[in-house]
Amino acid sequence: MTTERTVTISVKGLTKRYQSALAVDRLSFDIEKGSIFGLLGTNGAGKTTTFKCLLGLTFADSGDVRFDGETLRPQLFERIAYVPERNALYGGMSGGDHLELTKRSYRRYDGARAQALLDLFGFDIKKKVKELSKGQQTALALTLAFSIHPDILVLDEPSSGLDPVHQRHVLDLMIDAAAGGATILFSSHQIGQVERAADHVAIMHKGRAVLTGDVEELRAGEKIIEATFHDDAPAIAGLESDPHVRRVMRQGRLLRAYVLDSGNGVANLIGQAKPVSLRVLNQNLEDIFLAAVGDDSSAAMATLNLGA
Amino acid sequence: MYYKEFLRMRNAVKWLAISLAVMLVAHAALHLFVAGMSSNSGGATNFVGIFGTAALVIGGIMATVFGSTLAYENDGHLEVAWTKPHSRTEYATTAMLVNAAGIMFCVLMSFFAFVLTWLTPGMHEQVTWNLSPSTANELLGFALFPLAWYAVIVALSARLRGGALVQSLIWPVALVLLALHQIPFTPVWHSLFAALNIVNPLSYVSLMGGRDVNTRSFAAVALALFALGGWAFATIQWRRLEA
Repeated sequence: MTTERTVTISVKGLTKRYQSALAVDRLSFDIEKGSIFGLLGTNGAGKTTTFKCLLGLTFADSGDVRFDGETLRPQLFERIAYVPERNALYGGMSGGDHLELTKRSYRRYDGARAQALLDLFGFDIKKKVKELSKGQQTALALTLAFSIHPDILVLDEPSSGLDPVHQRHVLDLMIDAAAGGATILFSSHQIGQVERAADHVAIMHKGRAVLTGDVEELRAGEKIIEATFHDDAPAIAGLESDPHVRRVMRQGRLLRAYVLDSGNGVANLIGQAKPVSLRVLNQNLEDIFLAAVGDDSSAAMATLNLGA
Repeated sequence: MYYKEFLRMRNAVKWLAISLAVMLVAHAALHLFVAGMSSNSGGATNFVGIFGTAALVIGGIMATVFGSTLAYENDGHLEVAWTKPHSRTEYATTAMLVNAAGIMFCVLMSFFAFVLTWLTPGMHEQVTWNLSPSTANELLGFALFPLAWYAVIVALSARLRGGALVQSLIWPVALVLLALHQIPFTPVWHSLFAALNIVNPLSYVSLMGGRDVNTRSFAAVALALFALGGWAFATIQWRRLEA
């Protein structure tokens, strides 16, 4: 049996430059219908610019973006909901006014759905937006987005400012929407959330997608061998040159090797250096992310002399 | 799509109505308690003059307030404005039409409030309206001023984040330019200020009160061009903006 896969969002060679800075560099990815796609990256990696280019909020220098095979046109926003990272709601208007504005703008607006979301997040819609906390503003933006039953959701840091309970609600809403056929593209600095909700991820670094793939496949693809020593982690002959070793990180007494197979052979090699402890770990998304972006902080951490 | 502008206009109309009501009551109270208020002029009422005052003062103020509509969107709200199922042109045009309608409503409301004030019983005996065949043309000319003023402010502020700079400077700059044109400088300076006043909508308002039909028509056409040109220029800039 073959499963037909429908690409809802297709991005090809997207490039955006701000004066001399290359914000997005030849970015390409496809998102299948009904999937949740997480965009990860450090600050300034180009995630928000990517979202803005996708939605026509800023003009890409080159590249092609398609929604169900079509280029973006205003009428498509009847099916697309966007929650920006920074609050863009009108400070002088109340939550109720924003709901009315949404109702008048989208044919798909569902009042009962909006009310259910308001009950879920629990805030006063009579208050003006400027009187709401950051978390409540995010909750209002999410309420507006989900109230139109969008086919495509683009969420930039959707749980920003929310408490852990409401963060979980957001994840559940995303998973529920995807189960109903919606396609979701979102970014988050909270890798645990991405790991829980996303089925595919792209990791961006300095405007480029350095790693893209299925979350489960990425996690299964590598192991981490973590060893600690009495003194600074030693140089081990043949470790870096081993074809299964993708990367070695040393930080004081700690040595961490990212390997592409089960890790047993490399573990034996490290074991010969008489570590205090030695563990073979499954990778989580944070490990994959840090490995992909090069974990620039490691050198700085090392200068803190953590191993002393 | 127009709901946000509608809310802003509704709020403005509410405050204007309160202000005009206070003015009417204060005027009536003064008339009742201060005998010297009666003018008993018995002359003809300058219908066009009242409308012109309403258009110039109230319309101008409202146009200044609402002229920042696109700049306000550009001050952190484009992500909301541009992800509605409407084109940027449609959005900007609708917003400006709602504002224009609201400004004209404010002008008319003020006009009727001023007329009511004028007609306070006993204030003026034997009131007669001074109407002529050209009254309609003159009224049209005055009605065009707030729209032209609004369009110029929208055009100047469309690319800015918030329109406070334009809103705060446009009246002083326009009035100073107008005043400089009236001062008998040397011909070179006079020509310079005359040239600068070509792009000053206020300079055409004084022409509206002239007796010459051609001059009034010229001023009306100029104000109409300001209105249309300003709206077009604002829309073009709005289409090119990036969030």
